[in-house]
Amino acid sequence: MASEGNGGGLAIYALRRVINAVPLVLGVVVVNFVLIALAPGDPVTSLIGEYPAPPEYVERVRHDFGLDRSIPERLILYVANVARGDLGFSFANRQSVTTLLLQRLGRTLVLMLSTVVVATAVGLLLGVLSARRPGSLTDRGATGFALVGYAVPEFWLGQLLILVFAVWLGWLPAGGFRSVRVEYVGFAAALDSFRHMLLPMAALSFRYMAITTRLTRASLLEVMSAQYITAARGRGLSENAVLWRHALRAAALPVVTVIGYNFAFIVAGSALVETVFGWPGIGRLMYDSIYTRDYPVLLGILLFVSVTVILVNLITDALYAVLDPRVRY
Amino acid sequence: MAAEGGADVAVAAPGARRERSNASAAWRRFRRSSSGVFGLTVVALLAVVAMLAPALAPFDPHATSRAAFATPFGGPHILGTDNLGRDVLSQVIWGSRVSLIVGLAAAATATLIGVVVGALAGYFGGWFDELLMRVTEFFQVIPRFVLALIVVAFFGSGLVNLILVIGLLSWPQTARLVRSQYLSHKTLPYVDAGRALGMRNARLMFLQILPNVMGPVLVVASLDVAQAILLEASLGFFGLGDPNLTSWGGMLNSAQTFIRRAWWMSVFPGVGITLAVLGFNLFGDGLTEAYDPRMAPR
Amino acid sequence: MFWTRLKRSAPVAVALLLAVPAFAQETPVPGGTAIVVLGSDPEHLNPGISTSYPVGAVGVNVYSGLVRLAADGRPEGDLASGWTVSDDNLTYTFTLRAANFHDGTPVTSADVVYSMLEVEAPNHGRFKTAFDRIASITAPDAGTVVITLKEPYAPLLSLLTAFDAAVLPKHLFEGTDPLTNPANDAPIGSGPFKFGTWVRGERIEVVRNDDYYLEPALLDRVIFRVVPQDVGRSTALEVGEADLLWGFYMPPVDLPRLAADPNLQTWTGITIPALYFMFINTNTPRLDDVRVRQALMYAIDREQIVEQAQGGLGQAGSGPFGAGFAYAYSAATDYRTLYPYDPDKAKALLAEAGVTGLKLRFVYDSARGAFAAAGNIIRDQLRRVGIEVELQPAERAVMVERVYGGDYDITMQSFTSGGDPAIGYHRIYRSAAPGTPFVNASGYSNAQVDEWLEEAGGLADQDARKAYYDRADEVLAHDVPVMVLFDELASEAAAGNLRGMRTLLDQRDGLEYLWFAKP
Repeated sequence: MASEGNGGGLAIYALRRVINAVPLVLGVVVVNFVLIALAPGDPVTSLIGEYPAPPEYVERVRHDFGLDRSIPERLILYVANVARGDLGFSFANRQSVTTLLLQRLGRTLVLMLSTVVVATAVGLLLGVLSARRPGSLTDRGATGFALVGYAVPEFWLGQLLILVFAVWLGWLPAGGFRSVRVEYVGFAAALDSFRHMLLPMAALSFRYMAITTRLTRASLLEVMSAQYITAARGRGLSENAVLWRHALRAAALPVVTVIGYNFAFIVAGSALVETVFGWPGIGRLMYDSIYTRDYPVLLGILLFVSVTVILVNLITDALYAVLDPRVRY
Repeated sequence: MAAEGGADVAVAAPGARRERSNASAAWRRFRRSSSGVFGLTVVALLAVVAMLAPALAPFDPHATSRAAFATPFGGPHILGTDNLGRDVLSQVIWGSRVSLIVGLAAAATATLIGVVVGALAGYFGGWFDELLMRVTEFFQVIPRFVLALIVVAFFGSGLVNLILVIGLLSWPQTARLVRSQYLSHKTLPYVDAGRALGMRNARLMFLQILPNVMGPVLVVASLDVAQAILLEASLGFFGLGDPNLTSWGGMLNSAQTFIRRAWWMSVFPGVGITLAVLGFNLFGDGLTEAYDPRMAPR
Repeated sequence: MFWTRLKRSAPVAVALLLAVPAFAQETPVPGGTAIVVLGSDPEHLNPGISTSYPVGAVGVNVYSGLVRLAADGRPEGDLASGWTVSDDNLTYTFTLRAANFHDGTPVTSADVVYSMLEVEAPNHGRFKTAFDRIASITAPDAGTVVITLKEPYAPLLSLLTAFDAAVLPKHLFEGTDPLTNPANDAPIGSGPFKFGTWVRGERIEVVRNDDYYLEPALLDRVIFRVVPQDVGRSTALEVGEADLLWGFYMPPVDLPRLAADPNLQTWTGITIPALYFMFINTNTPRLDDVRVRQALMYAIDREQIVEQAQGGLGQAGSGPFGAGFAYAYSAATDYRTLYPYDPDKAKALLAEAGVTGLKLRFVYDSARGAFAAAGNIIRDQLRRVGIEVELQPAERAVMVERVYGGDYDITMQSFTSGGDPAIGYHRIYRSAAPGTPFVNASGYSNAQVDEWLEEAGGLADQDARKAYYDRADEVLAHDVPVMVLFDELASEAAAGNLRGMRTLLDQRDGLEYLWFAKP
């Protein structure tokens, strides 16, 4: 299925896309910075507690964080720092932003990746099941589920899940990353983390399950009627073989692209879900940083997510190019 | 590029014949789409509720009272009251206004910008196209929710702000679609004919080509409304909605604190949001079947 | 058991509980780990440079102050074994105990003097108010500290606790910038607990200091667990993932449910009085008319605000300084009798003042749920008397800028008294220069009231103070530049088998007295 002898073409395509991405990233950095630098409010106020602070103290804090320099100066400094991997210093957390992001990144990644895996797997399965027998009860059920799953706000779903599974049934923890009281090790620790992750993952994955189901089903149906499938059937292959070997491979393409191009939405969803469940990842860091006016952290997150989206788009483009023989590059 | 879930409105390969969508033919196809009809019904119902809110709501949604946390299906408050004694049913009814207004206005803004940008890029091509596509890509790459959160938190949460922010972040999809439509249409005979007749570019673009392109544009617009409603609700949930108005997202924000004490504060507005989003999504599906049956999900 | 009866509408008796458990047959059992809930990650762990709540929570258990405040509010010796006051009330001489920092270095008077002069005086808002009245701080020898005042100042001792004047290790801070010193994140103090670990955004662990100069802590460890979502905090308690939740972090609505839980215990009362009130911008046209302000007082049902916005954890406004301090309260100016909820009276006053179509902007901190709820109630009630209110929530930084820059009409705030009205309440009414945050923002300026408050602040004798407060109360209750809404009621929820809470005045203090009773 992949085009042969076009390895060179692919490399040039990839390079072109990467070069395209650079001004994009720069643009994102500059726009972010300008936006936030112009926002009203003084971040120093969030540092000094609830009681009138001595003005010299306020000025000192302002100076320490470079807030007394002009905006163009600060922008140039910022761009230079970013190029070195230094995303600034977080006021409220007293850490370098990069360190902070990297700390929280792991937890968000765990949540997001498991969500993508589960959502894709379940979505593919449901999509296949409904495409096999269009119009059947299974099909209708899966389609209905997909429709609703796509419309439900994930933060509301999160609340409902907490209500049902944590409060009324008491089966799962209502929030947090792991048990604080008991220090599990090894397998028990993994199990503990897993238990804490179940509900947030469920809340986050519904939407993507829904999208994947619908898309898989649609692609499969389209592919199933194509010529080469009929030919395969004509050769006496069983329905299952036809399904799994040929149709699914063709259908995988749009699914991959959907997941790839919707990555930004998984990030957004995780921000909401992390807040509902108190999951200490990047999404919640964002929420907290808005209230403490922690500019460098917000900028860092925006930049980080934008660059990630660009990267994922690149990878998806490449995958798309490799998988789809129709794409010319 | 694939649109987010929902209808796959990718462009057919250039050179394929495209039938001019005839309005009545489209309507006939729409009527046969069960999801489309269902979606239209839900949307229409929503609109009716929103418009007749003053008459439908049994109480003033802002009226506080000492009867806090009244359970639903009990006394005069059919869906119960919230933590300040406000009637939940009235709030849900009035909340539909904000969702609809923001949803429709933001989608309209996005569509307007998207159509203009896409038309210009697709019709004129060249460096203009390149430039516009760069800008489009830029807007697509910025994480919408993160940016919206920041902008609203910093610059205020009035309705106009919300509409502008959501609209300005949603136009790339429409622009891409319109662009590819224009790319394929501008080589078609009827456009040549128009040029031969001496029509100016503007007239060609917006009076000749645009009507043929509106079908898919409307589909994306419908999905945009659904997305805008969700985005507004998410912002409201983070406490970034307009506190002077009743909104479903805002209701969910209050509900958060009282979820154990008053599940009805969370359930009913959530149902509202889900129905609204569902309605517009299905309506979009129906439109897809109406304008481009080959691309329909069914 | 510390059973709680929630008093919603009756005036709350000031509950100054002592540390003695009600069931004296239980003997404290050492050992165990207690988990305390924090609603946000502290910025750092140095209470000498911040008045923030979580910083104090951890900091006060890792550091020591010269004194600490017992449950009844009286200062008792902490790092200082005792002190004497000169006859003119200007010189305080403190004798220090033998104590060591957690790294083994002995604590000397040099550390005390250094901390106060170099760290707290320039950086700590509350300590500075004391420092402004201090003439000198000296260390005649390694075990003695002498503080000399410029004029008598009754609340001085209240400002010498670890919350406001923590004793930092001079050998770690000297020569560095206290704001960026790494010891802020890994504190070395002399308190009952040693710093253990800090997982940012998640938890802070402190371990018992076996070399503590007083009785060592009973617990082995305390873990401060960060739970930013208010919903999750009560849940953590209910599912056994936390043992102690202070009212500061507890959504008031959860209290009844927690109180009903047989595995938990709850408490309400007043510890350090705090006041919830509204500044009225007297520079706004029409709001400079005292009749309009009084109309506002009649138009708003403060009982409803306490019940619904504060979950019943408050006592509806009893006067310009609330009811937290008996000498600052005067029955003649009790707002419940002076300004009962009476919308008709409000309308009459407004008509008399010739006010129609008044529109007010209500600015408040968007992160405070109680303010948002109160705002909705106020907006509804003012609408019934013909005043339109626009809610304008703003992040704290913006809110502070707007309110203290005069860009508002009414705003809701809450100030802690800090243990004495002279510390925390006078600033509400005293004339203030525009632009100073966290002081009088109403633009109200009455030189006579200023003078009376100044006098009251300097006296130690409560009866003498009351005379001045009575006079100030009368004027302030008439002028109402500030609408006092309610006195905050402190609360607490804990695991059923936890003992030893609230042994000292501040709920965050004295965690060394916590222990677990065997079930």
